[in-house]
Amino acid sequence: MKRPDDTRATRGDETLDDPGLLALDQRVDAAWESDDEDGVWLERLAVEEGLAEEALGLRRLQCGIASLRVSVPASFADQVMARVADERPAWRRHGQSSPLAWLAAAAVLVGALAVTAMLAAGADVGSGPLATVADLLTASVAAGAGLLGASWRGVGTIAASWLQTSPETFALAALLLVAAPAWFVLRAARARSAASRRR
Amino acid sequence: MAQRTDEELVQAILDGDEESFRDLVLRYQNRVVNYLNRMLRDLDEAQELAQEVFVRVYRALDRFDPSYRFSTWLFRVAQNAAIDRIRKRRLVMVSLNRPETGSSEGGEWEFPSDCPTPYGELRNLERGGAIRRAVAELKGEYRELIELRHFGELSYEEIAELKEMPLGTVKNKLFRGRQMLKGKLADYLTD
Repeated sequence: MKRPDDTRATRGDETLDDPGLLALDQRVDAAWESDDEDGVWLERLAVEEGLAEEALGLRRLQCGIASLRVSVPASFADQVMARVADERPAWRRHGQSSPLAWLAAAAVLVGALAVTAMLAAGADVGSGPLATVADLLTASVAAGAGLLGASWRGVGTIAASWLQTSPETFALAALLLVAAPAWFVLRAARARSAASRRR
Repeated sequence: MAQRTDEELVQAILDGDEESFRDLVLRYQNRVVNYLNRMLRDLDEAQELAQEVFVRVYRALDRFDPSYRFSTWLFRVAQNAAIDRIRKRRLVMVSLNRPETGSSEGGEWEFPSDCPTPYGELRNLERGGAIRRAVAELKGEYRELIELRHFGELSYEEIAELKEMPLGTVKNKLFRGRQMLKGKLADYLTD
């Protein structure tokens, strides 16, 4: 069946799919750009006798096409960079917190600690809504601290009795104490490396 | 100092060295503009769209998969952008099969040439117009590869990756495309 786009059909040339011509086509494509004279170029490309005309035809075609290429103005990259400077892509926002945000969070934390310390020291805040909020805060802190103390006391008692059972148990506990943070550090490093590879 | 690879440049940009993006732009600007110019047949529009393509790539840089080549990713973005633009123009034929008959691509430009003599002086408008028409008249599957190879200056391997074709198919199609062009342009490619 003849296809209109088939080179052999349109040109009636059965040699077009010749592997030799295909190879020549690729050699010319890889080497066409050169200032050599045609004869020197053919010699350098080691074109077999009988294929010289084909090679030169291909070279002329390549030159003809290349002559249609244009060069962009020198300002092109500057224009792109100017547009890029206005961009705030998602990947640039990630992991880049503004120093102001950090400062604000730190200020809130310091303020909360200061208020708590004042209240814990028994500072007088008078009466009214502010006093109610202060009482609530004081009660919460006291309750939380009490709960935390009690639970850790319990945990501490159990741990102490367990550690005193034998020197091996103590050594195992020491090993765990070192291994656990090391495991977390390794895990974090691996996750970071995987994220970097994905990018 | 050895030139950094595209992938190294991308990583540098993601790590905060935004000036590395300029290196990528400089490396690809001519190729992208020439490729888009072939697709859009309008140099000003091609330059404007090429800028847009680079900005799109910059925005999506964190989604670049380094297991593929940067060049094929960039040209895929460029190709999609050009197709969108052509659709908007309602000129479906430009990117597909209908042959171009006019010379609306801008036959009056002065084309810089880096070809050896005598073809290095190829500024002949008639010849340039004939080549443009011949490329435009190729069937889409050949024209697309010719444009990627000779205007986008992609390697055979890059084209194979971009078009998801076997390398041998790319070589064959380019060979046939060039043979068709050589046949059509026989009168223009002589001394």
